[in-house]
Amino acid sequence: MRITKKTTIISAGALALALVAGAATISATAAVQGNGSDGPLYVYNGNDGTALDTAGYMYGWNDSIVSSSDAVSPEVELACPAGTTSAYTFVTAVGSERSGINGWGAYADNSLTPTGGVNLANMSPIQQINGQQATLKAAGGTLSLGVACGTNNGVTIVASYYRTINVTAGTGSYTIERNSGGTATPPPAAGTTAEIGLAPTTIAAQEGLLSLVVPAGTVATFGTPTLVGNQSTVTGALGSVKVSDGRFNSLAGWTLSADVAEFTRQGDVTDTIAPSQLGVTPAIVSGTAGAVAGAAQTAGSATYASTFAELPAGLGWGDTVIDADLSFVAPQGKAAGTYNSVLTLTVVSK
Amino acid sequence: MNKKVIALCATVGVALSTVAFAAPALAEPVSGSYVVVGSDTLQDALNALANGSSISGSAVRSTAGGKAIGSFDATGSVGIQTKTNGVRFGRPNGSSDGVKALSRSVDGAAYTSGTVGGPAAVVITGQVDIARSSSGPGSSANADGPLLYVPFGRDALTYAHTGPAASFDTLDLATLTGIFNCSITTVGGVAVTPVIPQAGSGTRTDWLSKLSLTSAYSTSNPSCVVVGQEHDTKNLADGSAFPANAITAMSAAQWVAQNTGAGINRIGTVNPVRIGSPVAGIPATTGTGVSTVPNATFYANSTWGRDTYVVVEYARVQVGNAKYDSALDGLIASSAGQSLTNAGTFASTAGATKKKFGFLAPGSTTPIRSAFK
Repeated sequence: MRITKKTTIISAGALALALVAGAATISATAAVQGNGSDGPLYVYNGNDGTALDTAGYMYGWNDSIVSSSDAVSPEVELACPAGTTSAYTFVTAVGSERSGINGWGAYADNSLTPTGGVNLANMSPIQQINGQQATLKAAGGTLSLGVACGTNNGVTIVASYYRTINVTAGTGSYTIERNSGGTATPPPAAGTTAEIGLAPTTIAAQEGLLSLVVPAGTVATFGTPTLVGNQSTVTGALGSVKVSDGRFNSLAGWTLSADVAEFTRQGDVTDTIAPSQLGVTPAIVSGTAGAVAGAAQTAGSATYASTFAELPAGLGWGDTVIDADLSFVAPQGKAAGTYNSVLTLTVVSK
Repeated sequence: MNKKVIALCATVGVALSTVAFAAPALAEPVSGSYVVVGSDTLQDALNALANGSSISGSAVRSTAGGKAIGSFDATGSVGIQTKTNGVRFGRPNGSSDGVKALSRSVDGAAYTSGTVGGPAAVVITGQVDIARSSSGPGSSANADGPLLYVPFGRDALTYAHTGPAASFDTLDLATLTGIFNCSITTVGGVAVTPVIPQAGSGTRTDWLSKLSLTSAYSTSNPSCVVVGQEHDTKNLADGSAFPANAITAMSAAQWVAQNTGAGINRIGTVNPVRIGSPVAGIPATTGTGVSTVPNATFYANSTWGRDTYVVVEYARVQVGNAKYDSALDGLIASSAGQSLTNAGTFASTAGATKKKFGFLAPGSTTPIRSAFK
């Protein structure tokens, strides 16, 4: 066919319009995440809608968790593209997040809301009852856990939202990596506050060892628990933190304090251990002369908030690196398991 | 000659057996794991949890140890097969029938359900795991009993009627008792027909207990009474139409569910059906149609409010017992958001789903041990 100039111009215009229209309908939600998810996905407690998505939190394979597309509110649905006919939740090997019902490691059917999205999808791995969730749990490793929008009865996936999780082989305990677009907990204001997740393990009194591996990352590292005086005792290290002070004129000094939240047992958050059971022995690793570590807190009689380290006024400025030995002693009657908590560090000027 | 006759009989016998056991294809799939049978009152709510439902605003399904469970209706085909390669047996119809089936599944004695026409005297060991019960164990409560009643949700007992609103809407306990023992035959000048749910129904047991008529009905029903099917105001037990100016026991939760569309609608259309209340000034439910909701004040009433239960074998949910089953325990342990006995309010919980079916949180969460039925 002979293409006249007019025809050519009109065609080009039409093509451009088609591209724009296509882009507008794909999704109104946010940007593709670092792990390939079509948008951010946040996790909330499926029993009561409370926030769960904190750094280093140790989830149990059976814990009830639900999805939201919002960092603050649980009941904000994930948007599915126009034309979606079915929705799913899944847990699967990395790279297979869009493989559909015959490719995912394990999945479950979900439903679309009247507005065509997915609301409070149950992402608990054990509830992905189609497939082999038990095999994934036994093998452990890095997996993707998420929500998908599908067509063609689930063999075609048109949108997939997921988080990357790191699973402990056998027990199925896992941590969830951050959404790449930002943090669920806001970044510290003016560099004064940091949160470090704690997840020490305990063993049962009068019985053999239970061993669990605590993954590295933004968690304090704990060793293997032993019985000392028939109480489960475990030691570990917080990891180095650094105070950086640039006030070379005023030399005002600073105080770094630590606070510890109540420990809750994974699988039953009503079972708690008081923060007083966490011992912390800070030590200055390197830095400004005159900086001193705070008094050691002894497991069993610790009080928080406590001073973690300080630099008295007038002595200097610059970077100070501090680390701490941790010890965690469980009261005798407590069930064995993994207890989650958070240690919050706060620095203020003297 | 004798030998031939015997052989012939044997052959005929085998042929007959083949015919007798050629069961029609059953519509309901078997369970992927645990099996729930029994009461009609809890059936819609429990079916929703077993099959998954989004009625609360979030897709909720009660699974057990990574497997789907199966809930079987109180009525339907006369026989059911509940598990892979399992035996076909009479469908348990009602709370008492369901607890009986559970008991036989544990003790191995032969089971015959209340459903007419179903297979009789079948050994059903291991074929039933959970019974739905709209009433507690009552006199079967036993601190060392082999069964455990775990509170499922709170319902309330009232009545539905096809009479004029003005005279039938509020009938007190004394009037209802008189109607159901045939000493009162008219209400507001109109002849009234009492309809009692079928034998085996927990609602029937509760109703008679509230009216102190348990012994009056123990051998046969009083002459003025006709037999209905639990919570059905379209038809009586024999299939005939539900009459005008009739009164039948009605679970308030069932009434909510049938109106909101959450449950199977069995509301009669020939004569307008209304919900009544035995407590003056406190209706059992409020709202109409899809906006019908339980009235918590009525549910809290100590006479008419009733906790409903799911019943299991006690040993199977006791840590340390050789029969302990952690997946079954998790399924009925109320702390878990999707467990059958959860009473949460957040949309992704089983409790929120149950509320759409007219069940509020139970008055007590303490399980009760009981003897077999």
